[in-house]
Amino acid sequence: MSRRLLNLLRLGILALVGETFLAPVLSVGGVAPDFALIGLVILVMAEGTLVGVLGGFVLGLIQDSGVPNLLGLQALLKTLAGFAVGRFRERLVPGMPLVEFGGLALLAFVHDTVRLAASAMALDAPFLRPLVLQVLPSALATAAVGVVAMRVAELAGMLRRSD
Amino acid sequence: MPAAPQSRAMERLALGVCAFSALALLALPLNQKTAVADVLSRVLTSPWTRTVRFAEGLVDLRGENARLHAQVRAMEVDAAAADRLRRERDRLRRALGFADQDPARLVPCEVERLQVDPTATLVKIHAPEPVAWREHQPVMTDAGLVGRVVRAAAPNAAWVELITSPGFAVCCQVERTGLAGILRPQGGVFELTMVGRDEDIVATDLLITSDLPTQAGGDAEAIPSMPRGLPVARVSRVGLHKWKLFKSVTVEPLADLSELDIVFVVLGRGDWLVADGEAPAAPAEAAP
Repeated sequence: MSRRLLNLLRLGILALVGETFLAPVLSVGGVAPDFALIGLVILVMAEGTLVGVLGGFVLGLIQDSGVPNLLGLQALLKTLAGFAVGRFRERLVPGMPLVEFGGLALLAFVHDTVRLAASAMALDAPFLRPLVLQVLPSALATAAVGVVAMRVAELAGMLRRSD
Repeated sequence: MPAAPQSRAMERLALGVCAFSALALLALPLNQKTAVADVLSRVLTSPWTRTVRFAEGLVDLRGENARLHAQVRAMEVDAAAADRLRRERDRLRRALGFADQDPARLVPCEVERLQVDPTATLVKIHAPEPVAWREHQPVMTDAGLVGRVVRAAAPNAAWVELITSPGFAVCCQVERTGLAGILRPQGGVFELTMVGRDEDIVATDLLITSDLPTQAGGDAEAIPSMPRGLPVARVSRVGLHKWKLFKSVTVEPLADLSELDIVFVVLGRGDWLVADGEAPAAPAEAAP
């Protein structure tokens, strides 16, 4: 089995197992790390922008299938996230947890804020309260878990230092 | 090392195609979105969801079986007593000409995803056997109403509109007084509208479905009524402004919409608690 396929399989499992089993365990007051986003970031770091964009689109579609009223939103956001991380990856010096933490937190915050704004507009749902009580803590939790997951991925030899 | 120009072009092309596809999906009308989501969930998520449920079921099976066994025994005794009362009540209703022609029945269904996304207004449910789905059939948990059927996805699957959906409206009545009002979601909270300023309603009052049809608003067609008596919500706050004709009534749904597992589709019309027809066989333990 090729290295790329093996990586895709590992990261798919990370995203699915994380979202299904770990997120409910780590959830505090409805706030949990976004394992799909963490999986996507590691995928981009391991395989590059092209695979990240396509992987982000598929991952977003999987999440969208449970929210038909906003079908396409997650696919769009994950696609853009995959592309953005891919471009950032070329400038990233690996092994700097603080930079990784900041980048992941910013990515998760922007991703969830746009998603929340779209839902608020489409569904007349509240915006500010969930932004402070859910999006912000969730972004920090995603960043914290993401840094650990990236170290594990690096130890497992999944992350390539350069193209 | 920077990517080659050809690789850059491929990345931009992939970005364009994926972003365009996602925007096209976003622009679809809701009924087409649910049809696409149907296909996606069948191909992408259902196999995983089924596997996870199966695995979780295996882990919990022994303990849950013992607990349910004891619960069933206790409930059989209660059911036998309740059934005697129901049959007596049915006899009286028939004598008065009130007997229901179409008594309601509950069909248990599994929600496709246990963790319901807070932004979701539709969920997909699966019944163990084919169901005669009809639009606006009520769907509830053991705690209370969660929504209504909007579209059949398969003989044993359907999409359910949750009570959090912006256009949702259901006619309710206060159980204590029979006072009617229309329950609607309003920006993250639920309100009971059309309650006059002089009406008797207090916090902690229980709301149940009324058998009056609901007008969605404007010239929209009236939504058929639900069976009367399904528990819906509890009044949490009642406000009154000097210059308003109606009270401001905030309510809390009884059902927890963030985690839906097993729900029940209510089939049939009439008072859903009426048990017309033959009584079920009494359990051996409860027999005199």
